[in-house]
Amino acid sequence: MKELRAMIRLELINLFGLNTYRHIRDPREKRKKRALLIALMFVGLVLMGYAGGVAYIFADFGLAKKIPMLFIPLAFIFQLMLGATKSKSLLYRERDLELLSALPVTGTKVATARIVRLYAEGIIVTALILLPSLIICGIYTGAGVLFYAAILLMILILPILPAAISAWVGILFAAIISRFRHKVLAEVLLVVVLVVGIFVVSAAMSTNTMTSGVEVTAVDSPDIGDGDKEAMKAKMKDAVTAAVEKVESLCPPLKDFGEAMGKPDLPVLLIYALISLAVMALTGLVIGRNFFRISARLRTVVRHREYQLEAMAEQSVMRTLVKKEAARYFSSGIFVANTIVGPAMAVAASVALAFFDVSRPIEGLKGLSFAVDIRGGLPLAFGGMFGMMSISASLISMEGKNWWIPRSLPLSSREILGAKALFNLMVIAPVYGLTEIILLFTVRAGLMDRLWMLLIPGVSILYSVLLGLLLNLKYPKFRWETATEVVKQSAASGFSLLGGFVLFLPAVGAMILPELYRNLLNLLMLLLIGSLCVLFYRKLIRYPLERLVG
Amino acid sequence: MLIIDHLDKHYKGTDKGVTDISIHVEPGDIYAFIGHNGAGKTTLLKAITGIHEFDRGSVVIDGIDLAKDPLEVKRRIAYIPDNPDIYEFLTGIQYLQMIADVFHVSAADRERRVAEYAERLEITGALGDLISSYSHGMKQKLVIISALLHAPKLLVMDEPFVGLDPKAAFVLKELMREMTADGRAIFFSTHVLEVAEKLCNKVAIIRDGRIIANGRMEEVVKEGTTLEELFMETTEA
Repeated sequence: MKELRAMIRLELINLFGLNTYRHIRDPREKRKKRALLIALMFVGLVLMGYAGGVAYIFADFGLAKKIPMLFIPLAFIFQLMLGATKSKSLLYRERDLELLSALPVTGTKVATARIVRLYAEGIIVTALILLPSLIICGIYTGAGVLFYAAILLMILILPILPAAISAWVGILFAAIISRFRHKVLAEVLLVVVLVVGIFVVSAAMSTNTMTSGVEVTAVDSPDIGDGDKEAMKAKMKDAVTAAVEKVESLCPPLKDFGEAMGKPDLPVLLIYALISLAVMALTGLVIGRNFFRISARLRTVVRHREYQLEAMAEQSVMRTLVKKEAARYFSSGIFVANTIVGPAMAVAASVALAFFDVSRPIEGLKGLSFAVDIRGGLPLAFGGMFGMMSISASLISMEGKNWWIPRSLPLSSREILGAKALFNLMVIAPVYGLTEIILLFTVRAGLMDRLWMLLIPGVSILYSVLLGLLLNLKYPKFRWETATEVVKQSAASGFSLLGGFVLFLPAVGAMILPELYRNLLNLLMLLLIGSLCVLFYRKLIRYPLERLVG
Repeated sequence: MLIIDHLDKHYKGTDKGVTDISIHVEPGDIYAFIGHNGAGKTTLLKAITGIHEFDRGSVVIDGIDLAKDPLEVKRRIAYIPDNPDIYEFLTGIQYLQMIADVFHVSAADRERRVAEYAERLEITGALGDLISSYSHGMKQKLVIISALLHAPKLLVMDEPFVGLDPKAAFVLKELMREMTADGRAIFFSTHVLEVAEKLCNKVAIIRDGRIIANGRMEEVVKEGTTLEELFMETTEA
């Protein structure tokens, strides 16, 4: 048990970088870490606020008793999605493998400690979702002290199973990848399939939610009478009941668990806890049995036969640097998967437009005195989709320990940053071209709207690439253990996502403005985004890279 | 070849760094730079190669001021770091091609030099493999080849012998002698004092960021003593 405790401590000691923050001496680094922790706390608060807000709407509609049945599966699925995408890289982490292999510790203990880490992160996610929602449930249903005690129990019990299932996804990935000669390619494909799968499933689920959501937002409209409100409440109840049933049918035990929480039925909760713990222990045993063997197989690389020197050709500096960026990008499944979501959304949206008639403005929407022309918002909306998750926001941080190479070579800022920008543009350009071609066929629009649809996403791509680089220069993260820390958890990637997202806001305005004003808004946005591109470019080519200490 | 004049470099928020460093490396010199861990060796090497900024003083390499024209300086030098952290997602030959492209080495020159150095360091057969499959020593050999590809006038190395097998260490020493025989120069840090004493004609010792001994080997290390004894005396004083 001592070894297991030591392994668990090792996994948890630096959760969210807290240990580094405590002991770091460099005040500049300390400030950066503090800012990141504050940003993380802010995201947590936003999640709590969102969960609490939705729970409040349900409770206000007389659906308080349904809250556990809906939010418990939600927390479960949310944790499962987060855990599944990172479990392979966490469980079979290479960094300390040799160190641990040399210690008198079994693979089971190492693996179990890593699953415990997945569980610990799950507790936080679960608490952020369940604390506000279940407290609102308790207030509205007049629950007793036992209910609130059960909330705490629930937060500790619920994350066990998704952590174990996530670990199984990790095992599956590792087992598949270890059988391939080209492991990186196999990992890229698997992660892409997983992320796209999650994207499709969540899109399908949110379509269901949106169907009932339209009714919810219209409730407070003065144009709606009491009779309408009652009818909407009934519809809302039906929609929530249907959603609960759907979740129950997908995972029946969650129904019993949700009901047990609502009562609360402590024996059922404890049985669930025991079953979850058994599954977790079994997972630890299964992973542990083959832990070091699979870890070693994951590390084996393709060895070519004795290499024979061939003729070497010269190529331009820019070409060689772009090829290097491409090799880096496609060597990381996490990097590829996390940056294709925006462009994939754009292609999917351009295809989806074939199924909706957006050729005319929609008039007479409940509570709205003006017409909504979806075509008007498309240029900026597509700009936003392309602008999210820019590759360039991670390309400097991804240099990591290799940063000394470009810094010691006779390369100017223009060459180093230019190659990164060019590579990002080369990845997006075919997707942009494909989207524009699809839009030609799926959207019927006038000349001006077509022009905006072509120009604004194009300029937005350039904007996001340059903004991504600037943000990465401002918030570099050269010390990382896995690409996840750079691509998903760094300040640069977070702010870059926000930078693309802001383009959606004027898109809403463009949808409701008359044609003349809409064209003016689009022109204004085009000039604004174009000017920002010029500004960013000027800043980038003069950036003193020697100040970035790797 | 290399003139470091009253150079100061300190890291913000810490007391780490180097102060008032002045060193002159002439063509043909093999200059050893020694000091205890954390004395400031890597800081100075990174400052003079343009990887890090410095606060005060100047660095002139082959008559060119590093602060005024860093790219031109970098074209004339090569740097080998203490840890061969290189692009693991490339194969050895792809890495060498990239470096040769950056330095505009002609196809004929790169073919000839890669063939020669890879053969001498016994790494030719592995050049088609991903660098991620290399051992520390193999990565170090690849960095050495990449540093020599453009025939630099000054080679700056940080602990170049760490991780090399005895034969590769011997070849590196040979290469260093050949380079300096051509009128080029080498400035490197090392903890292997016996090698420094035998191989180098000049030495500088740094302690707590300041140079405490500097000059020709025979002047710094008096007859009847060794570099190791001098080092122990000066750094523990």
